[in-house]
Amino acid sequence: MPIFRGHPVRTTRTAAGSRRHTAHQVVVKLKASETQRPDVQRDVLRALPRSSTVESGFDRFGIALVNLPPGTDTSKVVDRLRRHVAVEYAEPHLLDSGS
Amino acid sequence: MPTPSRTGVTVARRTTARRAPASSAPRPETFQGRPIVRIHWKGQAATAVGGVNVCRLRESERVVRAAAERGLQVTAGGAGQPLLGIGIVEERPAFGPERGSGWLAGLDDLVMWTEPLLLDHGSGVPNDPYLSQQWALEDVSAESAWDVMVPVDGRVVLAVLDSGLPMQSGKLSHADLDDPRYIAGRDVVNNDDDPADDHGHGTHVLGIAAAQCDNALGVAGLWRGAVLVLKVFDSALNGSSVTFKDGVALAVDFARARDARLVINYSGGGPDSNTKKAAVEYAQQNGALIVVAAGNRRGWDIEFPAAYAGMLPNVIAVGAVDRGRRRPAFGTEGPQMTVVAPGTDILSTLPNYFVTLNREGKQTKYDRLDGTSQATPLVSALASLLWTKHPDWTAAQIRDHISSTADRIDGNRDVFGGGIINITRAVQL
Repeated sequence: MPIFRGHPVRTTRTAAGSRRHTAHQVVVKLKASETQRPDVQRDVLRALPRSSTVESGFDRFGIALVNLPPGTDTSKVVDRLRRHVAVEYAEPHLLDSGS
Repeated sequence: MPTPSRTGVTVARRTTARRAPASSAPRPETFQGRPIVRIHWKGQAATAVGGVNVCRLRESERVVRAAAERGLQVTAGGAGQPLLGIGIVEERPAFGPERGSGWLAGLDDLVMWTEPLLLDHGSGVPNDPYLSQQWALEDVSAESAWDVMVPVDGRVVLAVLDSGLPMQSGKLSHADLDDPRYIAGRDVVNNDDDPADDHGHGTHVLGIAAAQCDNALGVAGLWRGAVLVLKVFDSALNGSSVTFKDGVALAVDFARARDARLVINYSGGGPDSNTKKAAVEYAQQNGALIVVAAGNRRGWDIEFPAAYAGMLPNVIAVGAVDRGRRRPAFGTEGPQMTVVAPGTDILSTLPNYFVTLNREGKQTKYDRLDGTSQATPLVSALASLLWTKHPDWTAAQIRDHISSTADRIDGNRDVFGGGIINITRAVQL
């Protein structure tokens, strides 16, 4: 199992078996025009389920990595974030591996 | 003798004379308890310079100021500070090994060693004992790689984003990967400053690209310049879109702060991701080249970020071939394939302590691995050499030159791309 930033993380596979991602983590990116606005950042994070935690906050890309509470349907959270007007994209935390 | 490069940086040129055997080497002296290597300055020009290696990068400014106070100028490195803690001190006033190192007085807490700018005498063929087992080097015509002059100031940086490098107790621990040019960067997996390799993959990749060369030990790497190592894979060789993105950002920061050209080696991959694409575009905006393994799953499409080679000009997707220049039992395919390089039975370094790969039957220190991961560092080393020779080229020009000088391989272009890299042709044309 991968260890990400010290946290043990469960991995899942899609039906196609090719898009491994960490369970209960999502990546969200703000639109370029909103990246530096703390009020927008807070508003986007409010769209997350209660008890969610920020693993790494919005960086120079406007990207944040968020931990979701166990049992959360990640795809539903991604869909909700994508509907936010300030969000460029949201996606599961997809895994890579060495070749 | 040292000669100014096109960028005005003094470089060490290899000559055709073989290095004197160790038994006849000048007797080392000591300076404040630290070794000073006295060099025989055969035919040395009046422009002789002295070098100083500084233990801690952030302290290098003190050395710069101290030199200035003594009428000397530290000229190497970008952004006003020496890169890698290595400065080139101009002979103004005359300064050489015979004159001592008096200007360093009061800096003994910073200075690790001093030496004249070394002239690297060699035969063109390194003396590393495992060289004869590195079959891949002959197959990519690597003989010219070691004749490329490498600026000592590190204006080209190769960043290896992988599982880290051999470190114990915070220090480089592998004898074939122990030199100030190996820079231990962040561990972005565990979010600390200890990128010790706990899997072994990163050490293997690093050794192929840049193991110490002509040091009478182990294997020979191709790239003799600066290497920044960032840990983006954990002990199970898993990374993510975010660790890749963070690694790219850190590498870009490092190179940009030093006005250096940046080649990123990423021997990993996975699914398409907005986050990875954003990172690659960020690298492109900053002029960096990303050399990526195409992936090992035979019958599958090329993984990402390698597959971005189809849409972004700063990405090279690297596939693998075996000793017969045939397709091995592994390997993805797709129209984004740029070039191939040897990727089977590749001998390189492994950590000198127990890691994940040892549980899979691999030896410590040195062993063989297969994969597009092993092909990729041969290409990233070539890219680094080319940027050394052609500092004005763009990332796209480096990519196109590597592809256009490759040896064509008959067969499926989705498998072999533009062919197998030819280092001698690429470097000499």
